[in-house]
Amino acid sequence: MALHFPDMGESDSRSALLNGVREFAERRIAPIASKVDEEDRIPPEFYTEMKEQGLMSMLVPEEQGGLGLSTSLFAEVLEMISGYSGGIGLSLEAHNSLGLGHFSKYGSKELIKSTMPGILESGKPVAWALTEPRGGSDARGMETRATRSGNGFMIRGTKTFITHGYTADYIVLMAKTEKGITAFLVDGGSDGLKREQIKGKLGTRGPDTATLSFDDVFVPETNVLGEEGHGFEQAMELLDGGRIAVGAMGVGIARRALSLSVDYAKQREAFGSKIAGFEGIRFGLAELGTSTEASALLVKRAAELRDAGQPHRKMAAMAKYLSSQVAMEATRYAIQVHGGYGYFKGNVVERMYRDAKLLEIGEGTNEVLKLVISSEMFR
Amino acid sequence: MPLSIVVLVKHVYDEGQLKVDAATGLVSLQGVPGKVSTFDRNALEAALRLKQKFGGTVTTLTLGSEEANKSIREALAMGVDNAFLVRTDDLLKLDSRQVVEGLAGGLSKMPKWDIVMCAEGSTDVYSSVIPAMLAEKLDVPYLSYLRSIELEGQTLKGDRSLEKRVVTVECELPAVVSVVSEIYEPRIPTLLQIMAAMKKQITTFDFRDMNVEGEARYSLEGMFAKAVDRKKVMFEGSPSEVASKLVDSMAKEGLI
Ligand SMILES: Cc1cc2nc3c(=O)[nH]c(=O)nc-3n(C[C@H](O)[C@H](O)[C@H](O)COP(=O)(O)OP(=O)(O)OC[C@H]3O[C@@H](n4cnc5c(N)ncnc54)[C@H](O)[C@@H]3O)c2cc1C
Repeated sequence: MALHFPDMGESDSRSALLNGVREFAERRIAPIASKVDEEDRIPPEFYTEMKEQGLMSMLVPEEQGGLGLSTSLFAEVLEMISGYSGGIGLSLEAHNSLGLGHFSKYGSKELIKSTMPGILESGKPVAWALTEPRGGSDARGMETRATRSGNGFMIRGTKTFITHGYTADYIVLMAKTEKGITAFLVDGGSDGLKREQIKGKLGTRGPDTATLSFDDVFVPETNVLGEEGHGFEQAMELLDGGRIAVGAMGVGIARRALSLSVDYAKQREAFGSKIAGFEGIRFGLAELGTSTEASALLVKRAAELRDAGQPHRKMAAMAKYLSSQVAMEATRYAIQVHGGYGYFKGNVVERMYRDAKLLEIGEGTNEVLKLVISSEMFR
Repeated sequence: MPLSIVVLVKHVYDEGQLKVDAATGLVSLQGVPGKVSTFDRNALEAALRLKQKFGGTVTTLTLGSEEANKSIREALAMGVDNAFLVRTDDLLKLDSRQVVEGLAGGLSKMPKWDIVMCAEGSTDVYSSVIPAMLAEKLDVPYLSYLRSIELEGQTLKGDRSLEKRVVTVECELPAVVSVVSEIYEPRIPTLLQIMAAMKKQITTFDFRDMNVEGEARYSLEGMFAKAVDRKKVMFEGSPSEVASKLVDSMAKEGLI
């Protein structure tokens, strides 16, 4: 749902909102970003703060108690935040576009009514579980089963690499019933659910990551999201949005990496002059600045199509495909500009370089995205 | 008794984005975006905290162009109840007396107030004369540069930092107050508050209806950037050697 302000232009309200986000990022996120990365942990109090800020319900429609931001605005918010902390960016991305986004979009009226207020009040992220140990790219080949049992389903199987999986109160789970892949809202306190934290992420550190084992976990019929057998289409639809958001994260990381590089180049001297004066430095920034803006436009275009209800699968895949690579290149170059100082922990660009890598893997690897893009082209 | 606090909010040029012509030293305002005068947010925070403690309302008063609505909406997002704009497109051509009379005119259109809260100065001109002149015009006491505020009944009290000591001052309401930026960190509005602020009403008057008589007695001819030559002295040695060399040289310059 798009925002409309009768007394102000759309662009004024957009910039007011983004100014607010920038202020929050500078004053509240920047100071803790390095600790979040080091400890691979976002403190629960910080989730409460993000909840109060409105960041934990960005895509939930107003009538369900959320902010009802458009995809475009949501993407810009994520872009802003991810420049300051890729880990907090990923947490907000996965929760808003996938976990909570899926529940909000496909949960029944009754389920939304009974469960949404508690989720929003808790300020805790909702996990979204598609990937399995035997493979993430081939999601259709999943092995997790949901078999009918009484007034619900019994779930058996294992999911892995699940963001927020270790701490989430609720998990949106994709599993196969006899009618096909189906999405469920699983209560984190269910009997038979085992969680194991996966430690040691390279980047986007902050949100926990877990392997979830379902050993006869009962889920009532009422917790089926949308129609039985339609879970795969739902997941792909959600991923279209998620890819725009991941694309936006890439834009944010690239933009900030380049702007930090410009700042550094202005003050660092070599051979008796500022390195900012060297064409060898400037040209790289010019090239990457151009690629960054190109990827930003792709993200924007994909977001606008999604907001307008137009087909956008290809654009969304393109946006993430390009922007994740640009983020990798821009952070690599940022370290280059910073020289040895850029190579050490404690330097923001070092962290951003590690953060950027996830964008080429999560929510469809870049190879999978090329499958998506080409299959849309050959339609 | 619920309080009625008016906070003066100014929309200024973003001083971080001023461009200086290297040849002439002239400061150009062309294309420089506006923003809320940073210190006003500390004054807003002080007002909002008084409201939280004693109840009542916080209203902003702004003299400026339609552009200023941006800053006013920022204030509204922080939790301000009502906003008044006295509209003029010629703020830079007004002298301090005219500004004060315009503001007093705006105040006269508002419901009765107890406190007019101001920042220590605006981030563009920083003349810091408006609160004092306004107090004189309104014929109420003025407590300046407060770094803390308390209210007991009708008595307003606060601490003012001087170079080597702190003085406590007090007066009876109604009063004009200015606060230093250290008084409080301004709150960060939530996205919901920002969205709601977009829909709030801003009551607007025309400066020409404020009965400000006479011409400006001084005018702004232009702005120049003052070139400051840095000495760029480099010290070498161990950290403690460098530190004592730095101290010695600052002493020699008469800086310490
Ligand atoms: C930090 C992090 C957080 C994550 N969070 C979540 C989450 O919250 N929920 C969730 O469900 N998943 C999550 N994932 C999982 C992620 O979506 C998968 O890792 C991803 O989809 C790839 O799956 P895979 O790791 O099994 O790799 P594989 O599918 O095994 O792929 C291995 C390699 O083979 C390539 N490949 C596979 N098929 C083809 C093909 N047909 N043609 C060419 N190349 C191919 C891939 O591109 C990749 O390079 C997360 C992953 C990470 C790293």
